[in-house]
Order: sequence, then structure tokens, then C-alpha cells
Amino acid sequence: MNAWAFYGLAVLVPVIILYLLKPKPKELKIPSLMFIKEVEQRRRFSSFFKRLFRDPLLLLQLLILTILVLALAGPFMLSQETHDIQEAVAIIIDSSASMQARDVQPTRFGAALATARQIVLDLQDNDHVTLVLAENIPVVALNKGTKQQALAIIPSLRVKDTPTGLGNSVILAKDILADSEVKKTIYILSDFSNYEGSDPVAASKSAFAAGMSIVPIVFASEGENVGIVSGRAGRRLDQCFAEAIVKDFGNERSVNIIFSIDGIAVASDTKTLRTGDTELFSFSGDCTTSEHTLNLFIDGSDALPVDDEVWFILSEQKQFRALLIKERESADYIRYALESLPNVQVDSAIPTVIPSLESYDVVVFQSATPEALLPGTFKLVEDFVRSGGDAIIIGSEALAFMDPEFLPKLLPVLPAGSSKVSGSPQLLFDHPILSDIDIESLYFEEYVRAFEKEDAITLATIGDSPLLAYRDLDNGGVLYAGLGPNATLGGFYLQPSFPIFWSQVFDWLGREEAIGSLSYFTGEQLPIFLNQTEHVEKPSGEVVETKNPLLDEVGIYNLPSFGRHVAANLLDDRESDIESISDADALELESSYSSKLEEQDVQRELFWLAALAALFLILLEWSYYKRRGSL
Amino acid sequence: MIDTEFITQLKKLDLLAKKKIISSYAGGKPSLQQGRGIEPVDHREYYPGDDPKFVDWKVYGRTERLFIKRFEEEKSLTTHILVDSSNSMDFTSPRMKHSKFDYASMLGIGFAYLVTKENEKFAVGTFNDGLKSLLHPSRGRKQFYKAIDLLNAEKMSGATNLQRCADEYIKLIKTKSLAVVITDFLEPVDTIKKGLYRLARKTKNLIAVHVADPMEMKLDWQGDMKLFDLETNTAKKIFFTPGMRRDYAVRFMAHLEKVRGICDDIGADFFSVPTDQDIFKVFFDITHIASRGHHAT
Repeated sequence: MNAWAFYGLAVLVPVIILYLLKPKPKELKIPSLMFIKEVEQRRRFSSFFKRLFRDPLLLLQLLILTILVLALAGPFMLSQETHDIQEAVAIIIDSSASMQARDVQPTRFGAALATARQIVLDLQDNDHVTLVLAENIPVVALNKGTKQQALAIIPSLRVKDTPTGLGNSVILAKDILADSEVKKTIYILSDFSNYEGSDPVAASKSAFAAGMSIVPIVFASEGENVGIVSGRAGRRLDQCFAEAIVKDFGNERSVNIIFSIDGIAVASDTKTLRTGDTELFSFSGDCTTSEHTLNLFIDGSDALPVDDEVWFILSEQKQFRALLIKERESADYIRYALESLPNVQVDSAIPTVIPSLESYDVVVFQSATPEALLPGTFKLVEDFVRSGGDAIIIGSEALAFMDPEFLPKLLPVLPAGSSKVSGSPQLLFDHPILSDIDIESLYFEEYVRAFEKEDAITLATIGDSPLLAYRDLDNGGVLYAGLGPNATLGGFYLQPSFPIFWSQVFDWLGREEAIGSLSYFTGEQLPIFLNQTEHVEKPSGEVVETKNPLLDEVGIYNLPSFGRHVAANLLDDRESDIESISDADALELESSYSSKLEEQDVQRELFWLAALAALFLILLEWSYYKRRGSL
Repeated sequence: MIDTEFITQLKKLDLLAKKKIISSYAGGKPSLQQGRGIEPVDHREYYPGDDPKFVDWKVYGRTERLFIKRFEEEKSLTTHILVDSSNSMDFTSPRMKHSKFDYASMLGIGFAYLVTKENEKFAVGTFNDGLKSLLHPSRGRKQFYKAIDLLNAEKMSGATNLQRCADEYIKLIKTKSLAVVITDFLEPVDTIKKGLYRLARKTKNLIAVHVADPMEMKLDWQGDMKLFDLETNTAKKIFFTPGMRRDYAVRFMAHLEKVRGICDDIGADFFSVPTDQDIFKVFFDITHIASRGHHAT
């Protein structure tokens, strides 16, 4: 109400004064009032009000003015309304991998879409609708759209192979609805089996505290699922290998996994899993140095197909030309190991005669002594590394006696002689170089002492010294390995994993920095910062143009502009566990959504009613004037 | 005020006087008192309509002219002229030349002229809520001028009560009489009825003349009014609407109809005369009615 309008009542005062100042009535002497009195007596009913209100016109006009003043004051009436309340609705639809489960027909996601559609149909035409897909990164499919827009968009929504960011979606919906001044409701359509990011319970409580209604709707039943929850693949010498950990979330069942290389099944394995069991399935097959696509999939069907397969891309192996610098009498174990690598061509050189390094990619110093290497050699090596080559230097006690300005200058460590303390290495990083290398099982009777330089990355230590470390040096890098072919130095060279170590070293040296790993988890974005929009072909065949490709489907993505492929997999045991409902009871779940028809205090403006009343009274006054002959 | 101009114009009534209209009230009407056992004391000329059984055939034998025996009780007809002089009679609307009392007085003097011309006795009295002024019955020109003086000297006062006036006046009526009541009848019907009844019972012959100003009959005004009752000297504020005007006219006429009905019941002649009507026309109307058997229409 506009309280200032009440000052308009002051206009009643001059009106009253005006009536008080009315001219005196005409005076007339008549023989008798006998008949006048009879007439007035007859009109007793109408004259009753005249007795009470001597001048009806005055009262009428005062009433009209009062009503007009009240109309300007903006009167309103609070009434309980159960319909026609404008509402802002946010519908969060869990589009994570678990929503593909078929325990709810047609799928959990399909059922959620149907429910979302029904929610929208129940809305009024003037309600606002926001649609949020709860992927690991929430996606706003419709921002404060109309009912009709929502109905058009819902059928086009697709489930993804990613985990869900339910809490983040609730926060997003809360932020979108925050500035609405109408009734706000957030519907959460999910199986509530898993989430990443913010806690959806905490987010829901925050939204509730902001005056929003939270309506969680569960789409889950008892589905049987067995899925691949972990996996990896790689090369070992001339073989490709792939491994998968399979977990049974349902009843005991026999699981058959088929291994394929480039679409050709090369192996399979069947194991029986009981409820909750996990099993490792390992496969290998012949591979060339070319790029290969590896696939593991669970033969058969279950409630959630998306976790029944994993994909790996093994990039084309880079060919290396390596120069092994060793003294004549040194053991050839490293040479043998290098020669076993299919992508490495090894040349040997015996100091002091060192060939030009231009045609080599990697220089391996098996033994370096001050006497064997001329100063100029180290300068060449330094230039070689700084210009993009890689140097691998096997640690030895002799390094401590070298001119620090020479080879030690390149090292990621500062050699300090040797230590006669025995011990076993400690792994600091689960680095690809040491993948499947049980280095900690080695026993060193002595070790090369060294001190880590500031820019070094140490992967493993022995005692107080770096055992395996590297550093970048301009365009190249230097790898230090205190794993010489010496029995007292752990005897690593005698281990079957020794050539695998070297294979992994060269794989690591040949990694594509621009893309990095070729295997990702669904929900991740490719760490590619493209300067312009590029085409990305998704596993489903959909082609998107984007600068930051989102890996929301399990399978192989083609990046034509890079000439490469990448793979994305779910590999999420929480997402695969479709039976668990985490923290759902805290949200007071309902199996069906309640009616949106609620009683609310609705403010009904009475201005028009007052204006109509005033108009009616004005017409009444006019007719009164007319009747008495004044008009 | 009865002015000399009016008196001069009274000669217009000479023709009526020759017709002995007043006397006809004495002879023509069935008498409530039969003259049995009353000796004839006089004769008068026969007029058509007289009862043939009262023709004196002996005189006819002698004169070959028809004469009617006049008995003792028929000998004299005193006309009692009562004029309302209450306050309500002192009303003159702007367009009127005479007040209601002046008009009523002229009517009364007219009747007195007729009576004098017929050499009959008459009395004149004024009344309001009782008898005010009285000129005792007598005949002749002198009586006539006394009547004029009485009426001219009359002052309006008080309210009207015909019943009380009749109660007082009938005590003065000794002989056969004709009563002429000239009033505006602005009083309750009940008192009018009782007054007329008593007068008619005493006089056997009654003429009731209602006088009213045209304005008071139609009330041709509206709006905010403050009305003063001349009769009761009270005031009333009213917003007079056309609806109220219509109601008033209806009630006014209904009142007169009631008075007319009373007169019919008692065999009195009733005349309603607006004060804008020519006095002499009124008398001609009266004679016309009189020739039809003295019934007002």
C-alpha cells in the first residue's frame, strides 16, 4: 500500500464545508403541511436514511472520494490461492553413467526424462523452467525458459558416460533461481548412487535455507551389474598388454572378458565372480610400433552396459636412435636391453672417440670416467641435450671425481661418491618409467651417493640419495639412474624387468607433451588449449566443434587436427555400483513428486475493485440528480 | 377584501335571484319534517316541481293561477353562511388576486345577496377551531352590508375544526335553515365528517363549498424547501421531488373525495372551487346543480 495516498482524505474537508455553506432552502408558506406530512410518512423507508443522513448527496460524494483515496493507496487482500502461482522450477536430471542402468524401464535416465516432462506439463504457462544435466560438470540445458521450451528440449537430452556432479548441479540451480521472486522449486531426478564434487545434501540444505523447495526423486531399483572398474594398457617390447579389474556388484556370475587389438579379438578369459568380488583380467598380444587400439569388454548384458568395456590407445612408438657410450670392458647388459627394444636402434661408442650426436635421439652414458671423456665431449653432449636430445647417465662413483663443469653439470644430481650402506630403494612416484618395476625389492649393498639438484625430479631414492632422477635442460632432458650393471648396486640389470625398464624409459622420452596421455576418464576435458575451434569426433559419431573437448562418452575420440586418437573410460566403481544410494535418506526421498499446488498467500490488488466501486457510486449520484430533476 | 367592484357585479346574480335558488332549498327538497297538522299560513306561486298536493285549488278557482300552500314550518328559511377564517385561509399564491378567505367571503356574500334578493333571512359567521364571529339572522339590505363589514373585518387565526364550530353553531339554529359552509377543509376527515353531519342534521339542507388556491392543489415547486404551515405555524424542511409532488396531488384529491363522499351520505351539495375560477360561474354551476335536485357532481 501507498500510505501517502491517505493524505487524499483531506479533500473531504472542503467538500463538507462546501455543503455546510450551501444556500438556504426556499422558504414558502403553505396553508397546511397536512398532506406533505402524509407524503413524507408514506416514504418512511427511503426517508429513514434521510433522517439518518440528512443529505445523501453529501454522503455519496464523501464515499466516492474516500473510495478513490483508498484506491490510490493500493489496497490488497491476502487470499489463499491454490493455483495460478507463478513458479520458478529447476529440474536437475542426473545424466551420469549409472543412469543408463536398465533396472528402471526403459532406463533410469529415460524414466527421469519422462518424470521431468510430467513436471513441466504440470506447470502453468507463466512458470519458468531451468533444466540442468547433472554430469560431473553441470550443464544448463535450459535457463529460465518457458514450459513449451522445456517440453521441446527434454526429448533431446542425452545421458552421458560420466560420473555425476549432483551437488554442483544443485548449487548451480540454486544460483540460477536465486534472483526469482516467485515460488522456487528444485527437482533432483537421480539414482543418488554416486557424486563428485560438492555434497548434494549440503547443497540442498543451502538451497532450502534460501527459501527453495527441494524435491528429490529416486530412479533406482535392484539391478544386476558387473563392470570394469580399473584398467590399463601399454607396450612391453613387441607386445601390447591390457589389464582390467572387474567387480561384481550383483549376484555371483561368470564373467567373460574379450581382448581385442584394433578390433580383432585376440584373447578372452572367463572367471567366476561372487557378489562384491573383484578379479584381474590380463591380456597381451603382438603389436607393432604403430598406433593400436586395445579394447576389453565384458561379454553379456547387465543393468549398466557403459562400464562393460574399456578402450586404450597405444600411440605409435617413436623410433629412437640411441648412442651407448661405454668403455670396452664394461658389461653389455644395457646394450642388450636397448637392442631388445623394437623402436630403438643402438649404436655403441667407446670413448674417447665419440661420433657426431646429430643423428641420435638419446645418448646413454653407461660408464663415464674423467679419463674416458674429453672435455669437448661433454660440451657436445650439453649442446646436444639443450637442443632437444635426451641423455641417460648411469650413476657411478667415478662421477664424483669428474670436473663439475663437465658431465656433472648436466646431471639432475650432484655426485658425492659412494656409500657403503646397504638398503633398498624407495619409490617416490608411481612414474611410468617404473610401472610394473618392483624396484623396492632390489637390495643394494652399496649405492652411489648424490645430492638432488634444485630442479631435479626424483622418482626413487636409496638411502639419502636419489636413485632415479631427471631434469629438463632447455629442450632436452637428463635422466640419472643409479642402477648400474653392478651386482652390488642392486643387481637390477639381472632382473627380467631390466629391459622393460628401458622400454618404459624410451616410451616416456617419446611421450607427446601436447596431448599427454591418450587415455582419460569420462568427465574429463582434454588438456588441449586450442587456439581455435576444432572438430572432435566422439565415440557415438557425433561431431562437435569445440576448443575444450569434454570426454563424456566411453570410447575413442578422433582429433583430426592432431592426427591422433584418445580414449575415455568410465572406470568408476562408485558409478558402477548402481545399487548403493549414498546420503539419499538425508534428502528425505520421495518415490513420486508431490503436487505443486500449494496454498500461498497471494496478494490480490484491489485497486480496480475500488475504482469500479467509485464509478458505480458516481453513476448512482448522477441518477439521483437526474431523478430529482437537477439535470 | 370584498371591494365595491365585486358588490357592483353582484347584479349578475339577479337572474339567479329570480329563480329563487335559495328558496328552492326550502321547497323543493323532501322535508325531513312533514307539515302534518300545521296550518297553512301563506301562499306562494307554484313552480314546476312543487308537490301538486299542496296546490291551493280554492285560490286557483278564484284566480285561475296556481299557488302552493305554505305551512308554518315552511314559512321562513334562514340561510346560515359559515366562512372559514382559520390561518390556512389566509393563503394567496403569487398568481392569485384573492386569498382563499377573500374568495370564500365573496362566495358567502354572493349567497347573502341571493338570500336578500329572495327576501329571506340569513346569518353570517366565521369559524376556525370554533365559532368566531357571528351576524345573527336577519333580512334586508342592512343585514347584507353588515355581512360585508363583518367579513372584511375578519382576521385569520387558528386552525380549523369544523366539528367544534358545528357543535357551537347548531345551538343557534331555531328554524328551518340552509347551511352554507365555505372552507378549505384542511383538517382531519373525522372532524369534517362530524361537523358536516351535525350541521346537516340540524339544517336539513347543506351546501359545502371547498375553496383552494390552485398552487396548493398542484404544488408546482421542487427542491430544497422550508415550508411553513399557516394553520399550525410550524415549519418543515424538505427536499421536494417530483415523486413527492405526485403523491401530494393524489392525497389532496383523495381527501376531497372523502369529503365529497361524506356530503353524498348526508345529502349535502358539495362544490370544489379553485380560487382562480370566476365567482359568478360558480353560482351558475351551483344553480345548474340545484336544478338537478341539489346533488353535487
